[in-house]
Amino acid sequence: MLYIKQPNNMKQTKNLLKSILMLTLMTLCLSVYGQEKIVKGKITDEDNEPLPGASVLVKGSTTGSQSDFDGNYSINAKTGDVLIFSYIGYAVQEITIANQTEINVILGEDSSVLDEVVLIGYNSQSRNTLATSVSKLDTKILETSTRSNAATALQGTIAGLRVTNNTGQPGSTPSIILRGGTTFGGGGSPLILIDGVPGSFYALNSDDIESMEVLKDAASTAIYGARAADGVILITTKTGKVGKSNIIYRYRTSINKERETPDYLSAGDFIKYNRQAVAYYNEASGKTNFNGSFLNGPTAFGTGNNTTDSSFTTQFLTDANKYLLNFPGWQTIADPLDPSKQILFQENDFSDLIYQKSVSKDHYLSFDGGNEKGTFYLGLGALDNEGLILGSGFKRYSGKFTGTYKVLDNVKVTASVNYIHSNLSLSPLGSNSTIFRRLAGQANTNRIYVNNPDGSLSSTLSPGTNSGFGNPLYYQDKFKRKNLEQRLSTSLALDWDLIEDLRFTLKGSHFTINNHNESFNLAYLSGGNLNTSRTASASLGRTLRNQLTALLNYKKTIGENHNFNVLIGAEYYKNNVFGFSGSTRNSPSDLIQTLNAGAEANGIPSTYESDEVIVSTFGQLNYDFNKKYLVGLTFRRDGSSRLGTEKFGFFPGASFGWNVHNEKFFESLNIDNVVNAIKPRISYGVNGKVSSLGLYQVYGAYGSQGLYDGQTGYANTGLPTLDLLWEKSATLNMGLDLGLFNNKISIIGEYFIRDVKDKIAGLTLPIYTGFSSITTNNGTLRNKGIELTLEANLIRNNNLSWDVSGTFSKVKSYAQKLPENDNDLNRQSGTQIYDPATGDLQWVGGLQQGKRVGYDIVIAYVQDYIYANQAEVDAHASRDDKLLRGAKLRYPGDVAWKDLNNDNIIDFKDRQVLGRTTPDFVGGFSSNLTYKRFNLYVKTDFAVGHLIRNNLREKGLAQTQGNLNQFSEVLNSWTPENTETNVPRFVFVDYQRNMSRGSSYFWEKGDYLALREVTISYTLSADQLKVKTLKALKLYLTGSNLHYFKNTTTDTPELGSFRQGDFPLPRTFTFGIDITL
Amino acid sequence: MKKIIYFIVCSFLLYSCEQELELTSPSTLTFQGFWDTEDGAKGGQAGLYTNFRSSASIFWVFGEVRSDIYGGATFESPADTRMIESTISSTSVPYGNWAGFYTRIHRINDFILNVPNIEFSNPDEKSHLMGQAYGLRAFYYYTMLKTWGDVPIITEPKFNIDPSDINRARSPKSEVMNLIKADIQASLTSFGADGSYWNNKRIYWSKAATLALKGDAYIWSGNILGGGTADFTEAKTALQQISGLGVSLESTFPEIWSFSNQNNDEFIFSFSYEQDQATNIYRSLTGRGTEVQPKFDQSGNSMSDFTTNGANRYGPSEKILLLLDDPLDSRSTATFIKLYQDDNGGAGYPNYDATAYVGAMTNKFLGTVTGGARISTNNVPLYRYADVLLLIAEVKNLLGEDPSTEINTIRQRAYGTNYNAALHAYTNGTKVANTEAILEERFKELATEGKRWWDLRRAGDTYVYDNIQYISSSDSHLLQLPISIDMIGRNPLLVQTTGYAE
Repeated sequence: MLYIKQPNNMKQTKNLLKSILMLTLMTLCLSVYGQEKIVKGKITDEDNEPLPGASVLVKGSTTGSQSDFDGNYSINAKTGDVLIFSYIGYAVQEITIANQTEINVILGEDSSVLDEVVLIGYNSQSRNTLATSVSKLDTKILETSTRSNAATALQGTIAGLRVTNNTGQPGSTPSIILRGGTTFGGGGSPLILIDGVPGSFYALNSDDIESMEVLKDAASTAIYGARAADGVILITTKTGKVGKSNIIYRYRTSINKERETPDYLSAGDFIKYNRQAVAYYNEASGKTNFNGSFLNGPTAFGTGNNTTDSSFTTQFLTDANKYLLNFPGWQTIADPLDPSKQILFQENDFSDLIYQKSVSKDHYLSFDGGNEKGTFYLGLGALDNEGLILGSGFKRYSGKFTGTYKVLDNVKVTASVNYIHSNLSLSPLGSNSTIFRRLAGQANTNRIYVNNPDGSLSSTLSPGTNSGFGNPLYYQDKFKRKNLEQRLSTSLALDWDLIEDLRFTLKGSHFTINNHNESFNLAYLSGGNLNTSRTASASLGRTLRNQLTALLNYKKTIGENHNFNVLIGAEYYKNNVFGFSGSTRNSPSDLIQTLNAGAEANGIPSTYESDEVIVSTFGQLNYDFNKKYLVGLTFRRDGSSRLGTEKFGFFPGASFGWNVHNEKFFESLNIDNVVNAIKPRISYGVNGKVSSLGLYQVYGAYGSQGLYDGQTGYANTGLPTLDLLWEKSATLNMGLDLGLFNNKISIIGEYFIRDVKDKIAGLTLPIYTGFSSITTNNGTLRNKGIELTLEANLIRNNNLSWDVSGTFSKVKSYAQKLPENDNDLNRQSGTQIYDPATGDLQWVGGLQQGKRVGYDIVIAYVQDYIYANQAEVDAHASRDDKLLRGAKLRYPGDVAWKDLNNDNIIDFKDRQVLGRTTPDFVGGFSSNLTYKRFNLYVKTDFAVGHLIRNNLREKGLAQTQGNLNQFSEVLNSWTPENTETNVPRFVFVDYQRNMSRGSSYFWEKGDYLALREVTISYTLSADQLKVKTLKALKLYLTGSNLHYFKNTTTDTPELGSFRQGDFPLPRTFTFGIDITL
Repeated sequence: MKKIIYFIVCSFLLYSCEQELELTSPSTLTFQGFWDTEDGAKGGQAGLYTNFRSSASIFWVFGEVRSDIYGGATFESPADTRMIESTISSTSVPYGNWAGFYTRIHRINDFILNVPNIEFSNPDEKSHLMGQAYGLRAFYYYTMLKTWGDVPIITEPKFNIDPSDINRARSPKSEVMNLIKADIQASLTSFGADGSYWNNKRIYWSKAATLALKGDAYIWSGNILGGGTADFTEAKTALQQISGLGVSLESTFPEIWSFSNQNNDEFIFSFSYEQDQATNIYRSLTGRGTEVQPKFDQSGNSMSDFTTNGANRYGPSEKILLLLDDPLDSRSTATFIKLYQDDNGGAGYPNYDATAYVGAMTNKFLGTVTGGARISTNNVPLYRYADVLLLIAEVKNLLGEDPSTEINTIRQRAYGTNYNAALHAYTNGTKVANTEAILEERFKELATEGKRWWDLRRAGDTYVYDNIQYISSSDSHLLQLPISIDMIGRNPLLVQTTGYAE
């Protein structure tokens, strides 16, 4: 035995260990017996790059070897032996030795989620030593399809994350909610860190992204303390790699197609049903007050229009106007109120006028490379994404550079610059509700072009009623809107290895947003008048964000089995926001669209500024014993300028895991053919949150009330709450990682309970206080949920591989504890309905201690059936309906409401809880099939259990606007001829309140499965390509948002609750090409 | 660099760096120092008025829309039909949350609590401000008393919230009326002998405004809450003082509504509306060009050149159109522009014609045209002298005196040169006849000004049942509004308004 003297430095110890290892290996090699041959070969990756240091092992023995720097290996083995080839990050391959002596192996990148390396915040770790809950995005999804916002890739791919695309507007960021959110209303956005710098997804080029990780439980997010209660999304951008140089060019072009527009009534049916609806109104109300305007006036189904330029085309047919029937679109229909008269009208399809031809182009060029001294990455992008709606779109130019250099052996500097220049064009026609509900919902009796006196169409556009309810083609160029946003993110980092295993890192970053907006209204016709106010406006928003981080990191293995990784750090964060806006009006001309031409100020120019500072210290200890027993400890201490007297909070986290499969006894169980990895883990941690609090809210406020007699008025708008405490959310997370059939199937399961204590939320107040609520520490919110991630490598061989994966998550929120008040269960807010169980009234909705949060419940009057005839109406002759104008006045075709408490009165008590507006569970499936050089990728996502009320449908059927078109559902409404139906009769302005009282009939189930993406790609490798300089070429075709399997009448089934017109995601077809030089 | 080193060192030592976190807001006013100076008081004063103006549309709906003046033809779907037709129940609660009035009251209470502690360079200004604040608070509580009956009495701002002691019950009407009377007194005491108008403008509350409110409220107290003669006498005295405060009738009726004459002496208090500051609600009593322009007015003039930019959601009832259907009465055309399908062969319709009539626009508050669009920026009176004169007639009648002088003063102006005493003068009649005459005169004189419902209520419940087709004596609870379940949910000490199902 060799006696080792006390080593005097670390290097000696390491050398010593190396020697021992070599000796052991040699001994092992020597101990192998005869009839063996030497098997040689080369181990490479899929790009033909050698893999140095890959290990080769004879199965069932201790014989092993390693590849050299060029990937060459040699090993002694027998025919019939099985060789196991493995390399970190690559899939293990087993090859049985036949007669050959040379075996070349190509290792594919390992997609087993259980072995992947994940970022854990200020550090990275292999998942097999991780005991917290972290998910990593499969970035394959980022490589295809035009993506004006990278966050859209997260939909359905991360268990526990609910990503909702709110709009088809290019560039917009979806809403992202982790584990049910940390507000009583179910909101709260994760902290987004781009290379460690707080930022957002907006305008970020997805081609610049290397990886995205989501930290979910508090033990993992505690390292980000005060801002991490809603989870953390870590985005890492691409950097150059040692030993590889590439030039990559990507090009994608897309066309966007509109989704199904709602099926509206034709002009003839519109006239017929609406004129009858006025007659029903007159009958029920005993009035004729709409006759002048709607039956006889110049309105959508009124007969007061003219032959040339009125907004609408309906009029009685006369000898003087019958010539119009010779021109396209002009038709007649008998007046249902006086069948002896014919009504003349022109059918014009109005609902499609809001759309434009929409094409996108996306270019990306990158250069990267590196050697032992340094690496660099340069990425340049240009995207022009036209939106589907007139005037909408998004343009982006991005440039990103990251360079590292080893200045000294132990000192590395990293510099990074990312500049993004973008133009967001929202449709100038107005809000989504104006565009999709009002403009697209107009009756087809509208005039698009003015008629010449001879009946032919002129090229003059008819403006229609006004800008909010007129002709989109006329108004599309009247309102000029310009946006320019510049985002600059720079950082400089210094990594200094002070001594062996101890690294000091200092990183400073600066992030700026400059957002410019300009608008100008040309002179435009509205309601028959030429509006010449020519308002010109400009605004500037500026964000300056600085962050300084200092870290000390010590990694050490003591003995053979004790692996330590210790981190301690400090951080300073400052955010400054500045805004300016000004406006002028009465410019003499359309030619100058800037403020200087205005004759006078329009409103008061204004600037606004605010600051926020957070200072933090934090630390982390990760320890594992021989990769069996895993321990992670984290703390962070944050001080926030938002709070009053209690500015500092302390946030600890701890996690424990056990790699059962690394235990001796596990091998003896002999189940490793079925279960090859099993890791139970548990974590507990605490996060803070103060973002629900305004920057200076604790100090109370006297807010501007506008001008009176030229003076700005102020009044108390907020109460001071200086002694507010940190909101702390404590999460207990239990997880299980399972690898089955040699990691062919990986399962990651999570169960969590998150208690948000001292929840900073609005405590509902009695109205007499002058406030409807006060922001205070309002009890405890509890979220409970489960998450599953499943991945299966169904087929893996040289020509064919097929992976499928799925995610599933479910979360429920409870008002665990509420401040004491005079109400049962310390209830806050809510409403009363009949409780069939007790026969009494019960409180539902709002917050009640121990019950589920009730802010998202749906309460409605229940439509029982439609009175088919007078006899059915008479059966309810004595019934009082408190919502009717005449409490007992009902007609055939009206709704028979359920009298839930059987008191023969329909009132607020007769409402029922129908469900909720947030889904019960969400998730997604994807499939990735590779055959030789072909790849087929399919991604879906789903949500189940949320309710939707489509106001386009309801507002039309209620006809409270007068000129609005109806869904074709009206054709099935009750009429004397169509009595067996569930669609109430169509009464003008819904006089009988068959629709607009909150009817169960309009709540639709939002369940959907979206075919989110299908990509087919073909890759040509270097050897297939005849051109030497070309390394690889990939062609692909992608269809995005192809189809929803759904039952709702909205095109946005992701969005629950009351929908008043949304910009749906277009169907997008993309062709792309990637060239690698 | 120094800062960085300092930061690193202090951070690693877990030193708090506390001073880095002490920030003051560059752009928002907080509690610190707001009430320290005269400037704060004046900012607070302007705040009281922007808030008061924000409630003006509610005062209008409460005071008039529930009466018999609307419900006629509209070009667009009518607004507030629930209020017009009194389809009100504990299921269908209009203007829940006390119509937001307690937010206003909280701010007045804050003002009344803090302004006395501020030192003013001119102490008279401080007294005037306090007179205004008490007057405004009395007006809010008076409106609430008339609307809901019993309401919680809150006279101090609540800054410290204790969830376990937060609920308050409704106080009985008599106590609310006592508070109103006390605030009126406090207002008059603060004004003292100072009858001036702040900045010489009648868009601020004044002694005259408090006196008008006093007359109004004391008639209510005397007639509805049983105060009787004592209250009537107080009311009469107060109302009769107003003419001594620079208040008088304009010479002709249309002159009151001229856009250039908004600062006239007839207005006692009017809400100020200016472009870029605020516009009034009468936009909803004009219309959209597409519907208005093809029409003709009562004189047979085409409306095709008429610029408008509004909505037509409140249509005058046939009752008011017929009452004002007198070509000799200048109020006939100055109140509404009646719109007709045709020009009747150029003759127009000097008298109301139901078959050709299609709708009406307000003419009292037409606003002005700028940049090709109509904007509604007329000042809107809350009290004007014609109103006060007719209140004097009302209180005289209640005291058994002859009210004809005041009635005839109003009629004389309305008819102008057409006035013929033999035809148009009123002579004193029975108390009931007088009441009806005064109600009718007020209806015609003050139409669209937010008064009619209160007039009927102040005269007595039977006048409501007789005039409003939607309310009968068996539905007396409809005279007051219910409160919503949410309001009770927030404050379980509240009980539903009498007569509404719980």
